[in-house]
Amino acid sequence: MNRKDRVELEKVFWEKFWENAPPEMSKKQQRIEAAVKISKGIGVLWNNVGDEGVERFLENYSNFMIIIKGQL
Amino acid sequence: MSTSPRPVSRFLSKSGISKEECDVIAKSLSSSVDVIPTAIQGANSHTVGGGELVVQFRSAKVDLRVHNKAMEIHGSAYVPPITYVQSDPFYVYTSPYRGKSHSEHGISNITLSIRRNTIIDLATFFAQGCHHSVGHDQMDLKLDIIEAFLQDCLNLPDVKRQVQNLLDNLGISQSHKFNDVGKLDDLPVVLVHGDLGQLNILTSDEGHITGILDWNGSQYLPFGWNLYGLEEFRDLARWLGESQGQG
Repeated sequence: MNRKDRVELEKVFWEKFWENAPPEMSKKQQRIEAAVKISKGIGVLWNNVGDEGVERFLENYSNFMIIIKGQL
Repeated sequence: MSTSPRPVSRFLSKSGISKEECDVIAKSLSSSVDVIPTAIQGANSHTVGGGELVVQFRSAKVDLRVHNKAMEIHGSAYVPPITYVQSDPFYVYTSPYRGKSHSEHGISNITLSIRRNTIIDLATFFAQGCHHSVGHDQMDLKLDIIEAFLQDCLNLPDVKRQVQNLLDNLGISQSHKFNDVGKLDDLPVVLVHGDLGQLNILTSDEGHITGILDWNGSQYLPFGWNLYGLEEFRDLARWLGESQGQG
């Protein structure tokens, strides 16, 4: 799959999401989409690093850094 | 019918429970003469399919309150009902068979059109969650915990700038006319699935979602927290490999 397809799929996602989202969210769509980048970024870190912390993550799972870098 | 060997789950190795013991119970519950372990097994469970049922053996109890809450929010079309069967000598649960996990379909069989169907269903699923948001005071992780976590993440190599940006935007939003920078508290707090990846999403051959499994570990967090799961369906892992390969 190429970059163009990936971008297209993201567009499809958000179009469908906003079609079905609560109206009070749709009113602040721009702010929400900006805030989602923050939430998703923290989620990526939390999901990979977890509550054991960075030191332990780097000791045992540093190969997951590529996922973190790719998604932040 | 293929008789390719299936891996013995880590759960069976650890627990000392025999596969045969599980098969007898699964056959009895499903009234099926043949039961087959699922291709991918969890670390803490052993799962087999038999007829119209999936039977799962676990050493620990499933928090059905969370599962039922997810069903209440998303409906049984997205969250298959789970029935508790027994707890001695291990926990046994059943649920209706809903098809293969997305990853079991085989990456070469997943076309763009199939991915598109999955993405559309995921969008509907995420929007559903937003219709059932709770107050920010019910968030399962408090802002000070998140802030301390991000401070620690500043020690990760090569992503300091990105982590600092997350920290800078964590706080309370200002309702300034020209301030379009979203903050975490702009987002509804929703029930967030803790492991929303290809292993836990069942899909039809056309890519439509037929069930989302394993709601253990779900928490009330800001919307978007687990949107990283979407990347698996946009082929991030392969894309990262290709990008690296291209130098």
